[in-house]
Amino acid sequence: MPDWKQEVRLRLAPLNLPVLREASIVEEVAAYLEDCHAEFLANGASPEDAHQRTLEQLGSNEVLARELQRATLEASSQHVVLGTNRRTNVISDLWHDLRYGARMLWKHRGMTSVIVLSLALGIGANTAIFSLIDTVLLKTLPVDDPEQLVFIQNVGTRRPDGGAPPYPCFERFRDQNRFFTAMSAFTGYDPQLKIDGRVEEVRGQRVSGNYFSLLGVRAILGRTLTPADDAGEQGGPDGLVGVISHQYWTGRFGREPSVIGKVVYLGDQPVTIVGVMPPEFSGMVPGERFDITLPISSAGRSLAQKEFWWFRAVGRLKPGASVEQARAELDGIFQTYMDEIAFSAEARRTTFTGIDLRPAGKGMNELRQEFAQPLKALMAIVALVLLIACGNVANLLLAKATGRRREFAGRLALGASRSRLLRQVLTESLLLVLGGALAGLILARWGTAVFVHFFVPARNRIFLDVPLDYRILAFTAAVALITGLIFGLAPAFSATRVDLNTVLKERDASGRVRNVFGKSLVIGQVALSLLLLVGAGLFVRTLHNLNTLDPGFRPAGVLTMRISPPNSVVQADRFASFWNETLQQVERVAGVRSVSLTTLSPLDGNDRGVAIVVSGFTERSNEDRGIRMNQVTPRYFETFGIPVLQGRSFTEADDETAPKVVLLNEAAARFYFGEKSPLGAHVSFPQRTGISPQYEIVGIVKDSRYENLRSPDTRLMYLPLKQARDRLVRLMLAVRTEGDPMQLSEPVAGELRQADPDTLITSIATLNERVSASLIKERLIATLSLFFGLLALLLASIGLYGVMSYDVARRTNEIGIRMALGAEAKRVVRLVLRQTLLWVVLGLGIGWCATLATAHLLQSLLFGLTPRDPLTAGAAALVLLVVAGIAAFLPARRASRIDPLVALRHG
Amino acid sequence: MLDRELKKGSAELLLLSLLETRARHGYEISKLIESRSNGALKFNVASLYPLLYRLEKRGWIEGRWIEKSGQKRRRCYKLTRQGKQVLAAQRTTWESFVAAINRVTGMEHA
Repeated sequence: MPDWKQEVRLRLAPLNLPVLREASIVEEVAAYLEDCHAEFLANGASPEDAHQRTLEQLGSNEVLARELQRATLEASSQHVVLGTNRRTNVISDLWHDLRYGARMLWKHRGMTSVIVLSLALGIGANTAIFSLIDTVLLKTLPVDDPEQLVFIQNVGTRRPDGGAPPYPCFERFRDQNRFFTAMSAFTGYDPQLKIDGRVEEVRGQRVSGNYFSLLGVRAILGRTLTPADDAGEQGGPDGLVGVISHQYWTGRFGREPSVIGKVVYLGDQPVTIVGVMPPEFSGMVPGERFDITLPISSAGRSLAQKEFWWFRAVGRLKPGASVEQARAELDGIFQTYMDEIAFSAEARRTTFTGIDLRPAGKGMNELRQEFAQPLKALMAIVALVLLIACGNVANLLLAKATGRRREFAGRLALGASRSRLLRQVLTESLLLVLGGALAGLILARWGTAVFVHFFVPARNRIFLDVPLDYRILAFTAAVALITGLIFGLAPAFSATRVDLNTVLKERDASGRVRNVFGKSLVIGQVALSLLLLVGAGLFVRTLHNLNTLDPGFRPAGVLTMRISPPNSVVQADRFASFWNETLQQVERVAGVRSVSLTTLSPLDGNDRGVAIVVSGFTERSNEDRGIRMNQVTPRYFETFGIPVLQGRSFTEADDETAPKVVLLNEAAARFYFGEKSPLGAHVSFPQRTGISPQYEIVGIVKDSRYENLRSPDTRLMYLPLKQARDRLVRLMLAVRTEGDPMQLSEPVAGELRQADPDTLITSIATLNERVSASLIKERLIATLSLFFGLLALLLASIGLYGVMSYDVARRTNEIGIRMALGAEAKRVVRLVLRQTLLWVVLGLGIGWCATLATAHLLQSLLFGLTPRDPLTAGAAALVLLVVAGIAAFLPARRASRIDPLVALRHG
Repeated sequence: MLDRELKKGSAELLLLSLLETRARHGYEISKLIESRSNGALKFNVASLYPLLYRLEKRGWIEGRWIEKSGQKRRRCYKLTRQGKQVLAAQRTTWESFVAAINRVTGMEHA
């Protein structure tokens, strides 16, 4: 006998009828078909014929459904679908599952949005941070066989990451080595180019002629540099030529192909642009853009200097050559070279010890060094967030699936198969994860934009192009999917395995098991949240410590900008008075309180060290001679708000003809003089040709931070600008203003340009902005860890709330009995709260152990506090406890409002 | 076979009429229509049940599962009070309609 019910069910499937309704129709119509079939057989039809003719009664597949739909359009309160298991209907089943799944998810919108949001945050944060890490830390340069490239570095204990040895030594490397295919020198260099009559400062580099061929980088327009171009200071057969970056070509020349052959001027020297680099490559430093690349021979005299360390070198190892062989060979050449130039034994021991080869495939990256640790910390943080999010998903899915056991049992009773139900659960989990991944993708896009934005104010030289990493998106989505499958399917499995009868009648059979599991999830989430919150607290306090630290100067109300006079002025007689005139011009601007010029300004990224000999001080090593030098105009200390502690400041009288004077900072005074007063003592500069004139120490000024806010104060010496030892072709102008310093940037710049339109003014920023930019790393990690910490807190409290609500619902009966027996509402609240807090405290304990175990990892990222800071940990635990208390209070209050009568009936 | 449109219009009347005297199940209704019309009228599943459900929904007929020992469960339909009124009204309309047709066609033949 054919299975007529199946035939009918198949045709009814698209209607999604209420379960009883469908079952009724199936039975009724199947009875009709059975009668029909029996009659055909009785009348002598063959079984096949009878079957066929009976089927015709049903009409074509859609007719019955269509007609029934017209007839039975009824609003149904609950749709439960019986499955068919026919292979022929996979697509329609899938479609049906999807629609049904979507409807179920919509029905439980609150839970769905929490799950999707949890997943989105976990997936999005991981994708964004990993994309950033990939760009900054992992990505190899877009060059041929990057694994063969090595940096050739001169290292010593005090200079673990030095550059290449002097150029004459490099030439020997190049000519004598046996293990390299080729090697190239390169160095950053910011030339002032005159383009179409206007001078601008560009970011540039000088490289060996074989640089591009060594790397395997080809021009997208014109040609790259060749060894012939690198013949001398005046260039090769085509004169001095340069290659520009794709970004510069786009930004400055509007992608005009006619840029090839264009002549720009480096001072008076014409430079012909011969090519444009591909967009993905502009140099060995990812994140930096070199607008123009010139041959290294244009550096002129530097090439011949035997004791000048000024560039870096990259080499390509021959296939099969070992790094150690190559290193030993170069080291031999280097040691011979160093023997010849007779360097001090101490310097050779500490600074110029030997040659090292380091992998260069990822390029040289200061960003990498600076951000490796914070980024790794952030990756760990977002991984924990993903874990917490998955915990939430697991918890909510468990709660949901447990709640659906009766639905499943009902559907099984009505003939749906187990695999059909599991497929339904699978579809819903897939939908959830898909939704989470999509939302995560959007978040990740937005997130990377935010991160890149973080780097922007740092230095205008960092250009990050962070493409989204779809591998990590897929990976995190897969993690989420696995979570979804395990925690969606497992309860469905158990629900579909149990005896239908008991479940249909049950109150709660496996709820207890589920709840134990749910509780352990919550405990885990609390522990992880504490870890994240403590981390966030430490980072935020580090940022706060740095922000409130006294840097030794007053950053508010100071405008700074870098000034370079045009070449015509530098070479003319009037250069002598140029800086004086500059000061006077700026002093005339309304709103200016004090103006000064300086070679170094705090936190601007520049540095200048010299060696001095201090009268009456016995050196223990050469190192004791080292001191940072700044050359400033008299009102420098007033402008920056650095107090003079002893003696006097500089005056206009300290000029070229006056006796030479210096000021020391406290650190230098303490180092060289201890408790004695340095006033009246002398310093001098050791020179090849003996010793310089003596400079008298006339005052002590307060320490101030120069390099960054974290480094302790180092020795620093000030010289009057008019007695400067350096050639002053570029100075920082600092202006203390009456009001908002940025308001004065245009008037000041305007005044200077009016005096000489070719004066180059760059890096205009307030001192506050420089301080803030110097804290970018700390701000990045503090902001993000705080964000993720709070997120974790939110997720954990949602998890807690979910488990508690479920628990209260499960115990309605018990609570009802307690209340019927006279328990007060207050006691019920206390009962529920006490339990919750027990888990929370357990979670806090585990989290506390985890923070102690991982504390040392954070040490180097902190400032002004230890990673085991009890205040931070205590505050984080308190916050967690309070939030958890609130999350648990809501279900507790609900429990206390249970009507005993209803509750007892419920049981 | 009569014209499809005509059949559709009259199908409700047929079902109501057959249920007037006693409750019947779907197959029985279908067979009765076929035999009484000498095979001129035929319902299949896709036309019969939707119509039955529609009438039921309107409250003109009422279906009920009836179980007799030794037989399978059947859903039998009987006319409701409202159904009886509808049937009476439809009959009148039908008779006057047929009469009108007859008059028209008869005149033409005459």
